[in-house]
Amino acid sequence: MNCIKCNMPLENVYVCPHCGHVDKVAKKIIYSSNWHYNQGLAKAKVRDLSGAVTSLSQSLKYNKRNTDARNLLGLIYYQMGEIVAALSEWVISVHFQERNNIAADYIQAIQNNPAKLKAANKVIQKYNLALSYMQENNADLAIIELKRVVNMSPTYIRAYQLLGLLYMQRKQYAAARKVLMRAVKVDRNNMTTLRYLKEVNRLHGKPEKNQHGRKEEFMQINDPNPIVIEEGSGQNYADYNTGFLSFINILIGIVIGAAVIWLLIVPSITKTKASEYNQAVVEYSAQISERNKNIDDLQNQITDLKSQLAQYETTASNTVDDAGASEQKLIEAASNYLQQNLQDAGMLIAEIEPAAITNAQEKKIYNIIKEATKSSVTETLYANGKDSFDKKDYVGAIDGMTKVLRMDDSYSYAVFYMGRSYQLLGDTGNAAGYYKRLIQSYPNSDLIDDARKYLNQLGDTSSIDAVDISSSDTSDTTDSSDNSSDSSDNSSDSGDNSNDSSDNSGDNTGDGLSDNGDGSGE
Amino acid sequence: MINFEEELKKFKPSLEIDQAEEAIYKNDLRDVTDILEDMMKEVKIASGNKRF
Repeated sequence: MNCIKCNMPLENVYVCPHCGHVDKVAKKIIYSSNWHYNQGLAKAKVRDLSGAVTSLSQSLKYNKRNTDARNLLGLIYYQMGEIVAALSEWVISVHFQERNNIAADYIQAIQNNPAKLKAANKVIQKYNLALSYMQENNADLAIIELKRVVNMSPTYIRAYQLLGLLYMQRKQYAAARKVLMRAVKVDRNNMTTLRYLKEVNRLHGKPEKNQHGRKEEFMQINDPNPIVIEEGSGQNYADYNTGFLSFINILIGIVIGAAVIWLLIVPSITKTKASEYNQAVVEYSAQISERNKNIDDLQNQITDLKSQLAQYETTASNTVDDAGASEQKLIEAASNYLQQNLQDAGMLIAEIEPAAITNAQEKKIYNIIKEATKSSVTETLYANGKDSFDKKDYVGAIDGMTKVLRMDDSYSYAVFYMGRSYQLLGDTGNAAGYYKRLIQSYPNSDLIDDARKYLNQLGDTSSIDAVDISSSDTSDTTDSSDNSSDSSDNSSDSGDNSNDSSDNSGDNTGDGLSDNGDGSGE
Repeated sequence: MINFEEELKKFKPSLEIDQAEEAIYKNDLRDVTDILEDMMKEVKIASGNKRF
């Protein structure tokens, strides 16, 4: 518009800067534009965004160069989620007023934040995608996309309206009401929103308020696509399908899974381990017991072996001692024999245990001296033994009779008194052995009946063998030829002895009978 | 009573960021001053035609 006087252009002014003419028409136009701008500003302050858009648009219809009105309109579009419309207004605003225009700062702020610009573009794309789903009669997918849109851009009025309308179409009036109420919070007097809300209230009735006259802060909507609207927590639109709630659900699932594992699987594993441990303990205990048993057996064997070793050592020592003593006696006997002292030589020979002499030369000497002295000491030895028997020194009697038998193993009376002495000492085995020896070897002895009688007194002696007197003899097989002449001599001696025995029989029998009486008495 | 089909048809796709330039060009920037100027031009043309 130009000045009617100077034809200079009047841009956003009604006083001509060239001639100072006040253009009344231009003044009215600018005043009207400003008045509508003020109306729009007042409505914007009370969040009547739709009313503000109407007033500001009216203001710009009067004066397209009203920068404040255009900038505010851009801000309101931006608040309503209409990013492109806001940018358009700001670009036009800058076009009309390049300097001192805050719209340039708005544009710069958006351009300097590409992520936000990209997110805003994504919101628009999702909204358009929801519209395309609707055109394909796929309301479910449209609702899902619109939920995402309102989550990403909580002030996107058109998305709320469309979502509310879809809920209404699906007769989910509570959800529709909540969505539309959210839109009302952003834009109080949006005619479309209010119209939809009125329709919802008509179809479903008004929502009830709680006792405190305040809407519930969280409200669960019983529909297939549950929504939670946080009335008192600011701008965010919340939904069960949000990423955060999904994360919480996954976390709860992990906790429940861990609890199940802890309560069910861990005790089973622990029980199995305890069972294996107990089984291992039992096995090890059995092994330890077996090892202990083996150790005990080995200890017993060691003890037995030690005792055997000690016994062998003792026996060996005694044998050595006996052999030494026997050799000493043999030497003394040989000395007496050489000195023609046959009585002493014979007594010493009688004391020697024949088994203790192992040397062949010694055996030969022993036999020579024995044969030479036998006839002179046998009777003396028998008398000593008999004397001991009479004195009830049965051990001495056994020793004496043993010496007699060493010198003359055919001396039947010595055999008899050996049996009697053993019987009176209680050694029935040896007693029976000597009695049997007498019965078997001397069947013509006049003591045979007494021997049988005493043998019967001993009871069952069937398992006992006769004593082998000759086994202790030292007669060497190698010397058999040398001793043959001695044997013949012995035979004659035995004949003498038999005579002696017959001579003694009367006395001995008498003694034996008297002894029997004593023995039975004992 | 709302006709859902008609209401749904009112919702149009939003312009994306790269379509902002197009939106600017399509913006109707004519205001009352432009209308008055057009009217004055028409009046001048009409008065000129009457003189001749």
